[in-house]
Amino acid sequence: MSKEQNTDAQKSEVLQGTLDLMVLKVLDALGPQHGYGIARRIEQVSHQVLQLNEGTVYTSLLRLQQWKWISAEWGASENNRKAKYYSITKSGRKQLARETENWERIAGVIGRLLKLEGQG
Amino acid sequence: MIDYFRAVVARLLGLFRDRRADQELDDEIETHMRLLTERYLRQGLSDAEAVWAARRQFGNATLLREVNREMRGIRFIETLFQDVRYGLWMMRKNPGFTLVAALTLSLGIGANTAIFGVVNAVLLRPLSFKDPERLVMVFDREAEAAGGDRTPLGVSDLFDLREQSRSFTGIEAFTGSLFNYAGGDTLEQVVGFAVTARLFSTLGVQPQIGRDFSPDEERPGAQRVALISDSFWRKHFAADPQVVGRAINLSGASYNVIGVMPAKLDFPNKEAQIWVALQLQQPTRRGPHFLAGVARLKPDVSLDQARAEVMSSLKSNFTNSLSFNIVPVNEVIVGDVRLALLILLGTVTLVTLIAVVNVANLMLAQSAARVKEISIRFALGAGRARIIRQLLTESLLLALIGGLLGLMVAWLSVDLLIKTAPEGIPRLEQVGIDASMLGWTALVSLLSSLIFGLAPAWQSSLLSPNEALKEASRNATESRGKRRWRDLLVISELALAVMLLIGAGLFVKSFWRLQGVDSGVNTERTLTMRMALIGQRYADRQKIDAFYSGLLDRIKALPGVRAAAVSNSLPPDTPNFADLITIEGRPRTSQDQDPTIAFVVRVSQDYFGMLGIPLRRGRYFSAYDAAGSAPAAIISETTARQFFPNEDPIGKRINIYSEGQQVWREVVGVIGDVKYNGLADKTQPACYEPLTQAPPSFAFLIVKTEGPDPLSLISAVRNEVKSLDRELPVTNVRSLEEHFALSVARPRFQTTLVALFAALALILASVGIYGVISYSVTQRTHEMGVRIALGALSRDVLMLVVKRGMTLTAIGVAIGLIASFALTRLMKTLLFGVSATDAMTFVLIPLLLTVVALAACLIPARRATKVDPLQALRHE
Repeated sequence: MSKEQNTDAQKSEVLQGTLDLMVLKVLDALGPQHGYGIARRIEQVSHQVLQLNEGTVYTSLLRLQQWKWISAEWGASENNRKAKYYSITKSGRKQLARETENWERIAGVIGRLLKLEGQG
Repeated sequence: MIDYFRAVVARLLGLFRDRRADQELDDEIETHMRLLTERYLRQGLSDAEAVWAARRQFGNATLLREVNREMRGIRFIETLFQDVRYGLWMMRKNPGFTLVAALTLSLGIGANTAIFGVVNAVLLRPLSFKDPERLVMVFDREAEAAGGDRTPLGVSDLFDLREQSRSFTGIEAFTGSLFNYAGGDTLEQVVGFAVTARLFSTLGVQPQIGRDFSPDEERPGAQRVALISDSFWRKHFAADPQVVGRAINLSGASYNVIGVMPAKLDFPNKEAQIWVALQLQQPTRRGPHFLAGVARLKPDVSLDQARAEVMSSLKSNFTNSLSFNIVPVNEVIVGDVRLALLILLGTVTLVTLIAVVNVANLMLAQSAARVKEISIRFALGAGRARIIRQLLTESLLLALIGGLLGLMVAWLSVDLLIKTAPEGIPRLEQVGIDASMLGWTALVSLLSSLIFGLAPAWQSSLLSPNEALKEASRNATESRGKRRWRDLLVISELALAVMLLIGAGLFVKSFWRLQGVDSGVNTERTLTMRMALIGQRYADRQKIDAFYSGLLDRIKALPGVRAAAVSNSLPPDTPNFADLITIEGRPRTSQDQDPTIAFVVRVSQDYFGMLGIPLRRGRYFSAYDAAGSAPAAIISETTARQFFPNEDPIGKRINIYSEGQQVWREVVGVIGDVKYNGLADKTQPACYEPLTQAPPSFAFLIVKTEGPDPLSLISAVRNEVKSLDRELPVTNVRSLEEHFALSVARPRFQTTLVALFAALALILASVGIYGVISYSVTQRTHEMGVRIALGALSRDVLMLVVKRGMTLTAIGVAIGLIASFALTRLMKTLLFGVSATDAMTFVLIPLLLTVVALAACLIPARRATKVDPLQALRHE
């Protein structure tokens, strides 16, 4: 049981950091979304492998707002309910590009590293 | 980088949008949960299961709210608000403590701020001239002369400097004068100055209306023009902007007003109302010395370079050793009072320290009562830093309140100070509450709060929660750490008090000595007033002489008048001028000889007798010494001793240069010394001339009355003056005693202030030691009860308590004594007739303090002996 809990903790640590990136990506790809919509999309894309406390999306959204990478607006949802819509900003797109490049670079290095081990 | 700043700003703003943001997040969470629930419902779960599943998927909503809230604000500031609210609540709960602490602080901080305000206005603020650091005053250097290193310049000196010196962009001069202003119905004596044409431009000051003097107005015979002060303009011309070109009547002559000077100009002193152009004749000799020189250094010349030049490289037609001294203007204006003010600031800071220490003690006592509360906080998980921050915040709050109250105290004190301050403290009237004073108050409050807050905060944070929660700890004695702090604080209080008291003691003794100085005259029942016989009416000596003799005759005839005299000088500190005396048969060959300079005092014949000046040899002046008789002179004892060391001066002839004539006077008498230079100064030589042979334009009328109150004759005397000359104003009407009191006004003021502070310190320190001993007695009640129950006599208990108090006192006093030895030498120049390590003071003060401390200990000690052992043993 403890092993499961450990993995959960590890998962959420990783996720907090990369969740911001995922939210940005979603907003960039799908345009303005409300919190629920963002959570659904992330669930979809991660093929439900990543199980998260969905509420943490809102913490992410707050952080992204403070850094001015996304902006928020109250609007009407699909069934005409009031909902807060988030959209990515110009500096947000720049940040996304930076982060993406970063990730790809790290992924490349690790990939090469792993290949090396295999050969040894 | 910019994103980071944006994030910080967002957080700062977030503090204020708290509630709305909370509400919005709640809405979002609610919506999200609803949608999740609906989703699960669609998947076929029951209502309850769907809700539960939605909650599980969403996560802890409360935690989310907390985290988001935290993110929105800045933690530090939020907890600060919390601490402040808590601190205010605590203060309301302990009103007694808060009141005493706040009051003590307000006195300590307020007094400090008041004195700082004075120091700031008088010493620190730059003068209102352009580039004031480049301005210097120029003096003649005559060693041993009546002015010493700061003898005024003569006309030839001014010309020599202007012609030869290369260090200055402008060399100007001024001299003081009195004018009788007659305008409409007004008849007023105004203080004025005659200045060289470019004086104001050298200073960098321009008239607010009209123009400055032009260089040709400096030539003798040029048209008479005058500049008037702002207050004169408002008073006599109702601030009429068309005042330029109008004529005013000064001492019988007509002057054209060419301009009005700005309001803030208090040059050369704040009484100056009129400035006229100084018209200088070519000099035929060096003296008389009556000009104050002002010069501006050239931009590339340093003070030292200029000083070196004027000290030895200039030449004169009249003397071989021409030497000048230059002193920065700032130094001249405030140099006198600088030391005194700084000492005052140091003194008041000591008082502040004592006040702060008292509050620290109070806080330590209070923190003992809060042991339980703090331990609970610890138990609930607060970190040490948090606890310290909380306690420091409370201290800051207290300091803030103390500081605000202190500002009020300062405001009142400054008002009082300005009203009661003596003459001669420059720019005092400019003191007011301004930014720097507020800054100072804030600084002092902050430092105070650190001092009195840190110790208890640190102490409290060292508590182990376990210990503190135990029941038994309630009657335990004060923790050793706390007790050490309190002892340390009391010792420092006592040391500070000793220092203050010794300082005050020295001042008091010095002032007492000053008052006891023999001025050489009898001041009882004497009325004095000043008049200026200037203008057309008094253009020649005979008219002046006639006025004085007429006036004296009439006044002597008044009932209640015992005697009357006229003189150009008034003891103890108002001489008229000094000049070089040549002795017959003793020509001045070498210039390095001690110059024979003496005060020249012109007196009517009753002067000596009236003031009780004793005759040592020869005779006083009499009716025999009239205008046409052989010129006579009387010299003082010191003059006789210095100028005629081994011979009888009677019959010898001396030359006092009078009104441009060489007049050889025969010495007919030697009289006792009289102080003209101030009570504190060494007695200077003085030569007296008969009034009838040398009537002065500026004179004092001195009247001795039969009755005890000289002021009762004021109107009678005034009437006599008026009957001789309706238009002659009379000023400075006061008794001679009052005049003497004014001359020591400054040392008196200083002494009073320091004594006041010392008294305050004594009270605070006594209260401090009383508090400490009293508190420890309360803490040890249980222990006392046990001792008494076991057979101790009340005397033993008393001794126990007193011993503790006296030990603290002894240490404190010892430290204070050592510090005083080291520091009082700073005061040396302010003391008169008392050494900075005066034995009597250094012995009496510690004794006094010990006695007071003993009394402060005895009260609680007696309380300790009255303890009922049974009660004490039951006492928790």
